[in-house]
Amino acid sequence: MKNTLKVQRAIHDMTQEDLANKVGVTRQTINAIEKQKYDPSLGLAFKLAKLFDVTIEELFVYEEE
Amino acid sequence: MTKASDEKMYNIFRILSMVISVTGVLIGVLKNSLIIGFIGVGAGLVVLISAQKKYQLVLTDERLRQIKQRAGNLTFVIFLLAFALISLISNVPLFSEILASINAASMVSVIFFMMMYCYLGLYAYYKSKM
Repeated sequence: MKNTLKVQRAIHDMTQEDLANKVGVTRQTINAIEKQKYDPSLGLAFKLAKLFDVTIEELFVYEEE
Repeated sequence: MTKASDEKMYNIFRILSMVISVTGVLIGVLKNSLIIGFIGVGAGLVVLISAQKKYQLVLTDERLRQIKQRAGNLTFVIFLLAFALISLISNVPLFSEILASINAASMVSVIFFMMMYCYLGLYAYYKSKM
């Protein structure tokens, strides 16, 4: 799943570590999401969207396989 | 203190807890004393839990839980198939003699270690993929 997490993080001037602490996951998980190696749960996706004040659709783009 | 230094300190305490536990068990085995072994493991656990409470780090999350779940499920399936295969070949005369000659206690410990290594290997595999 494509995402704009890295862009949003840059806009809000946050490191992966900062973001991880804010949403209660490890830095490695944020890194895995950014590299599209891991698709977050709905709960985590909502947390991230709320934190950046965007919709889930703006943050994550679903791609048909 | 910064998070990086907290992680470093937590890792030091984690290693310390392992050293205490292993040393306790080793001394317990050498002195043939069950109590020393238990005290060692208990002291190690106390150090580990205290460090976890002190540093309040995020040690696990949904991704790690998913990795553990997948590794555990596949380990279970692999061993279920292995047991099914063993029970099938145990009917073959040559294999039934070999199986009968194996000590049950050593068989259980070998199975335990094989399961552990299988799980650790799969955990590392899924972690590299996710």
